Amino acid sequence: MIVAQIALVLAVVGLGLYFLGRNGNKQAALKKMLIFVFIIIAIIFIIKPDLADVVAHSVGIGRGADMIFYATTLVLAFSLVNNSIIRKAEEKNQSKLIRKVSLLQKEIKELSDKVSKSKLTKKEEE
Amino acid sequence: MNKIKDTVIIIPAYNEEKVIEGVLEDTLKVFQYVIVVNDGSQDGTSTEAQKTKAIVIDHFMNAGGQGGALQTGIEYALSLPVKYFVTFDADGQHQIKDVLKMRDEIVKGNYDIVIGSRFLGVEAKNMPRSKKVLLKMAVRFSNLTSGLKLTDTHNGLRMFNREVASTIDIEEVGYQHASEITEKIAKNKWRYKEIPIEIIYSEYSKNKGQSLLNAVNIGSDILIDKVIK
Repeated sequence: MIVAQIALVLAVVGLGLYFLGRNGNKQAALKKMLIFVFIIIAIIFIIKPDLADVVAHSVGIGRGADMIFYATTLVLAFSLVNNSIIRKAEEKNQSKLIRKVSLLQKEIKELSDKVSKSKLTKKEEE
Repeated sequence: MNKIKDTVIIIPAYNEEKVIEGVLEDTLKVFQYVIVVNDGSQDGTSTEAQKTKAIVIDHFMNAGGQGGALQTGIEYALSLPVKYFVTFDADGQHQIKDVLKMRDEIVKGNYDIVIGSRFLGVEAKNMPRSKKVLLKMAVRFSNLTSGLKLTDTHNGLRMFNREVASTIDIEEVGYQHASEITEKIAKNKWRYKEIPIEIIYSEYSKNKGQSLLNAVNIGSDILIDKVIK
């Protein structure tokens, strides 16, 4: 049991440090606070699993394991939606970039065609 | 025949090499300005389009879909001396005669935007039944979220004036742009009118059309947008 507990604590701290290590704005700071709280709670429940049952009972859930399962599901769902929103925003930005470059390319081509045409006309006049 | 010079046709195209030349030649018979936006096609769409006198804009890679290509076409079109802007499909489903009807309507009624509808009397030829059911559901959903009373919210044939063209700013890159346009009509209080148009569903265009499953993507995107706004 103790080996598993050590491994879990290390894994939680490692993951937490990975996410806490990134810089960011106000939203990122809030996320970091939540991750920090999560690490503390996770470590407490790993070392004292009975506490999870106590907390679960106090909120009307039968077992600590069930409470952790529900919480994990919520976090996962939130994460999926959040990632979807981020992906959509990135898609829109990418589209804007492609548009800008493509329109610039078109403008350059049109100018180049104009120059070639005027050179040809000049040559013909000569 | 004197070509119409105050209207530009904007055609987003993706992998339409089989039909694009024909569609462009037909529109160029009537309209001076026709823009085709090749959205990173993997076939000869651009090559075929360049055989005509249409203005061809190539996205160097796929920008995500019809919405992205349309906005590119609109931004370019704003540099042309035109009053009216038309969004037109590349697969041959739309009819020039309907564009002319829309032009009469937009001028006569002084509307900001005129939208074609497949459900105002003229029955769409060969529309698959499942698509009809899905479209009607999409209309109900769209009208609920936008507050408008449209009969066809996912029709690619639209005509609008310069004020709409310069402010529309389509951000949704895929087919969700149709819902975005509907929302913007409501938000900006643009004067709009729907007119019956004829869509011909050939075997080619049926294969290219929206899959039923994609409706799930569109619906969920609309919901997410409503939540985060």
